[in-house]
Order: sequence, then C-alpha cells, then structure tokens
Amino acid sequence: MIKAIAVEEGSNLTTSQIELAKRLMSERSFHRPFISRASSALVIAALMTFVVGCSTENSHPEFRLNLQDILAKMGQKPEDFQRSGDEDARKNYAKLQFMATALHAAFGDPDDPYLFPEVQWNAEEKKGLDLRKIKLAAGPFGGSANGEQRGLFRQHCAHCHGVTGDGAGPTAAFLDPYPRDYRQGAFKFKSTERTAKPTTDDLKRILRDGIPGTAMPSFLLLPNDEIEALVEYVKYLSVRGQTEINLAIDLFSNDEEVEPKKEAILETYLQPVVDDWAAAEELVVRPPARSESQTEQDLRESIAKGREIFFRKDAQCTKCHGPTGLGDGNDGAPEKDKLFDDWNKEKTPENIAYWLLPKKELRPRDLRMGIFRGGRRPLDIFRRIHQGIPGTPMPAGGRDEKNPTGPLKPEEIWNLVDYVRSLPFEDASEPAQFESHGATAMVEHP
Amino acid sequence: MGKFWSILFLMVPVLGIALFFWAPSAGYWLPRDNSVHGYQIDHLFNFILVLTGVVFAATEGALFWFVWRYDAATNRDPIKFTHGSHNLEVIWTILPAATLLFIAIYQMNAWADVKMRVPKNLPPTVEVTARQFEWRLRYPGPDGKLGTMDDIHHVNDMHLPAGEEVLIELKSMDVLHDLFLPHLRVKQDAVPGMSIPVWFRAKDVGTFDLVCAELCGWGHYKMKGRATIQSRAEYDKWLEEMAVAQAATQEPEKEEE
Repeated sequence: MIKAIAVEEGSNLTTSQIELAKRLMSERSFHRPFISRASSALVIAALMTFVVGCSTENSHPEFRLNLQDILAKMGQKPEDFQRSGDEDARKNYAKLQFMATALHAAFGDPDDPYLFPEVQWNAEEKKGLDLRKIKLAAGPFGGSANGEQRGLFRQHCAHCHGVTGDGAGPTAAFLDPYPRDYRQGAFKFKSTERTAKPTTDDLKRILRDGIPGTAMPSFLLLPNDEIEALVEYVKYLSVRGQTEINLAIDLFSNDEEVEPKKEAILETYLQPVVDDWAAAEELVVRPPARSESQTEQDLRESIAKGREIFFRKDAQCTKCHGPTGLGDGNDGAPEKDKLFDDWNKEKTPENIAYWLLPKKELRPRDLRMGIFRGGRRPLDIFRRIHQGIPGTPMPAGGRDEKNPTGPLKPEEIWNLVDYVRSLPFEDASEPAQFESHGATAMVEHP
Repeated sequence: MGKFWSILFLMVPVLGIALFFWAPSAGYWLPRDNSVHGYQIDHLFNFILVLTGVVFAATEGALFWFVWRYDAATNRDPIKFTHGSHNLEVIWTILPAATLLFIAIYQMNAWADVKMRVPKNLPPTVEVTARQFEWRLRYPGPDGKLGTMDDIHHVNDMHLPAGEEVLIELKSMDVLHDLFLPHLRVKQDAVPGMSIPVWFRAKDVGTFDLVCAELCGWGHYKMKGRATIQSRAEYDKWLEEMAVAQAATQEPEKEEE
C-alpha cells in the first residue's frame, strides 16, 4: 500500500504530482469501507464458527477399494477401468462396482459395520468376530447418542493405519517403518506359527506394550474393554481386506465369474479368512521349558554357545545383522540384494505409481540397541528366531516337525536368545584390550 | 457514556478477583500437593499471585477513578498540562525493580532445592525416556544397577515408592518433551542427548497424572501416563512381579478378565 503523500503548502510539487497524491488519498478512503466490510464479514464468520462449531458430522468416511493390489499385482492398467472405454474396460469397471457392492453388503461401512451372522462370534465354536465390540471401535470419535459407538479406532489408530486399515493414514508417510496394512493379513510380532494369524492376546499385547523402535505407541492405560474392541476392529479390517483381495484375485487374475449371492461371497472368500483367525489360537508356538534355575555360570556358558551359533554359517544371523550385531551385515549390497518387507518388495519402478506410499528399504535390527520390537521377554525373542518374522527376510530358524530343515534346535535357540539379550552390554570393539596394550600407559607417562 | 465505561472497566477487577476467591471452592485450583517440597513452590505461587493481585486491583481502581472523575460529559474543570513528574518516574522505576530483585533473591532457595541440590549417593529409582508419544521406563533389576541385563522395562505406567527420596533420570529419544507430575510439583524438560536428574519425595500413596507439558508433535495429547505412588513393600512386590514377567520363557497363565 502506498503511503499517503503529504501535500504541504510551499512544497515543490508539480500539479500532476498533487493530482496523483489526491487520487491516492481518495483511493485510500475508498478502501476503508471495503476493509471494514471485509473485517466485519470475518468477524461474523468467526462467530458463526464459534456457535456452529467445525462440525464434521456431514463427512462419512468410506472404505476405499484396494486398487493397489489390483493394479500392481494383478496386471491391470488404470485405462482398463475407464467407464467410457472399450468393452473390456466396461467389464472391468463393472467388476469393481460388483466388488464394492459385495464388500458393502458383507461388511457395511466405517460408521456402521456389519457382519453376516455366520461369521459373527460363536461362543460354542470359539469362532467369528464380535460385532458388538467392533461397533464400539467404529464410527466417528465421540460416538452416538445412545453411547453404543465410541469411535475408538478413529480416535487412536486411523491417522496412521487409515480408515480402511490400509496403513496409509495421513501421518503414515512420515513413519519408518510404515504402519501395518491390515488388509494383507500379515502381522510380524505374534506367538503363532509363521504362516498363521496372530492370536487375540498377541494383538492385545502389541496394543499395550506398543512396538518400541517404531512409531506404534503404547495404549497400556486404556481400559480392557476398549483394548478388546480395538483388537476386534483390527481383525475386522483385516478380514475385510483379505476378503477383498481374495475376491479381486478371482475377478481380475483368474477372470472368474462370481455369483452375486451372499453364499458365494461368504463360503468362498469370507469364511476361510475368519477360520484362519480362529485357527490361530491353536497354533501358538510353545518352546520347550528351560531349567528354572540358571546360575550366572550357566548364563555365561549359554551366552558363549549362543555367540558361536550366531556366527554359524547355517544360522545366517551375521548375513544381515552383521558380525557385531549392529544390523550392518547387508550394508552396501547391490540394488537387487537390498532388503525389503514383502509389501515394499512388490513395488517396482513400473508399478510404483499405484501404491499409496513410496518404497522403503528394510534395515536389519541393530541388536546392540537393546530395543526389541516384538517384546523383550526371552519367550518373545525365542519366537522371533524360531518362527522368523513373517513379511520380512528374517527366516524361521527353528527346527520342528513342521520345519524339519530349520538349522536351530530349541536348546540352540535358547543359547542364541541369551546371546542376543547380552549383546547390548557386550563391547563391540573390546576397548579393554586396546587399553591394556599401552594406551593408558601412554596417557600416564607422556 | 463515560460513566458506563468506567463501570464496565471496574467489572474487570471485581469479577477477576471474585473468580480467584470462588475458584478454589469449586475445585479449579492447584491440584493436591503430594510432595514434601511442593509447599515451597505453592508458597511462591501464592506470594506472587497476591503481590500482582494487589497491584492489579490498585491499577484497575485508579483507571476506574480517572475515567469516572474526568468524564467529558460531567467534568467542568479546566484542562491542566503537565510535563511529567521526575519524582514519580523515579518511584515507579525503582519500586518494581526492587520488587523483582526481591523475588529473584527470595525464590533462590526453592529453585536450588528442586533443580540444583541433586541428592548425593542416591541411585536412580527409574530412568524415564520420553519419545513420541510415550514414556519408556527402565528400573534397575534385582542387582540394583541400571544398564544391565536384568533391567525392568515398562511403559507409561510409572510406579514409585512413597515417603522416600526418588531420583528420576530423564532422557529423550527424539525431541523436547516435558515430564510433568502436577501432584508432585515436578516439571522438567527432557532434552535429547541429556540425562537430567529429577528428584522429589512423595507423601501419600495414590494414583496421579503423568503428562507431557511440552508440545512435542502431533501426538502430544497422547503422551499421558500414570504415576502410582505405593508403599515400599507394595512397590518392591510390583518390581518383583515385573522382573518375573519379563524373564518369562513360557506363556504365563491366561489372565482372568
């Protein structure tokens, strides 16, 4: 804004300059009412916001279709879905619509979740999902008037894991590792066999303890019924996501006709996933008991044995975690040997545009940090080594009837557990040796 | 109109001071002080509150009187011009300066007690590591030393013994956080790269708030913990249970729910 020009008597201003000054000043006076109108409009708007509130009641979040899996993994192209395209494209578009309709019929929407009675919780068979708990976690934060819905998932989880549970909420892109995409049905830290689903207790444990070393915080202080509601909702999203993927594979990869009937969806696509979740409770890995009293001498011996196993070729520990356990074993590997989670591995330069988040490399754990994502109990670390970590290159090392080629016997895993637990307290470079070779002597006698 | 404005301005100190007298009875006041040192801090707070309150009332009273007395509608006195008063300026410079100096010296002991006189030879009770967005806790295990294999790890749910000096080693893993225990009159920034001692003595057993008082990121509001002050016996029992749970090599018996 040009400042007002002072027109003083006796100044050397030309006539045109005086004219200009007058015009500018009159423009200023024209501006005034406008500014006051604008500011009063702002005040009114602010007041209305204050009275009405920033209401979000009119926004109804929806589950979004899993287009990434269809586009990136099932060989479809975006132009294959043009509504106005050729006959194939129209057919594909109709398939998408069918998927959306079928999923909505089977699962409802984020505000009002639904489940067929056949897959609802059945106390006798110990199977199915508890719709009452799911409804506690669903809906907008704050819940409905009758106190039924409390919107726990949107309050605590959705900003990272997304309304759909696709692990691509608004804050997800900033995080390393990315939040879990429940739709894939793969969970890393669990007590069950590698290919099995986690148990309810596994998920509760993750919610209570958080995952140290990641952005997943602890929800320890939430009441038990809220934790259970959230766990049930995570299962619901996972079941929904896997049903969707199974459906998409048949529709797009196998090009099969799917009958638009409840029975067809339920029996072929939904029920198997729910059964998997129920079966997990029976697939918990229970390591053989250790002797109760472990003296300090026993522990030292076990650690020494574990150290030997750590360097054993067939155990493969140093390959990624490095000889010092710093997680640097794979550093400097060529592009093709870099490590990724399964869901990042699938991202290629050709299909990267279809994914919700950029590709992210996986760093093997630095075992000297003393941070154990899946829990720090010896039992937890045993299971990490025995079953490996599904979805990652961490292999199942334990030998049992299901994995007869596993390199490690249970007792050897226990030795490894002791060694891994002792690693944060072991000197990486053994500076003590260095000192005894004269370094301290030099300081004392310059 | 001048009368209206003067009454309106008078309402500010009247209602303001009335609010302060009403608030404690309605529960809107400092949380219960459950620490041995807290009275010093509360005393300083009340002292400064009364001091500023008196000045506030006097200033607002003067404002009211001037607006009332010199209302253009009723005031018939001729206008007087003044070029200021040297004496008056000296007084209102020296008086606040002396007051501030007095407060600065008066509070030194309290400050030293809570921030400087670190108890000697007191091993840390717990190491608190703040991170986005939780409180990671580490207690010395059965060997009584921090940084060994038997350390007890926990999160958000801080347990502390009552009636004895407690030393917290406060750290941060990422950004600035602030350990705030309002009932224990403890508030200390956690700074990445620093280990800051925080010490206090809790009076009674009970469950109290533990919150983050430094805007540390989008999830700041989530950084809520719980401080459970227990008797020594119960605290030791809890530590023992935690140590056993953490050494588990078998799935524990299913909890009753």
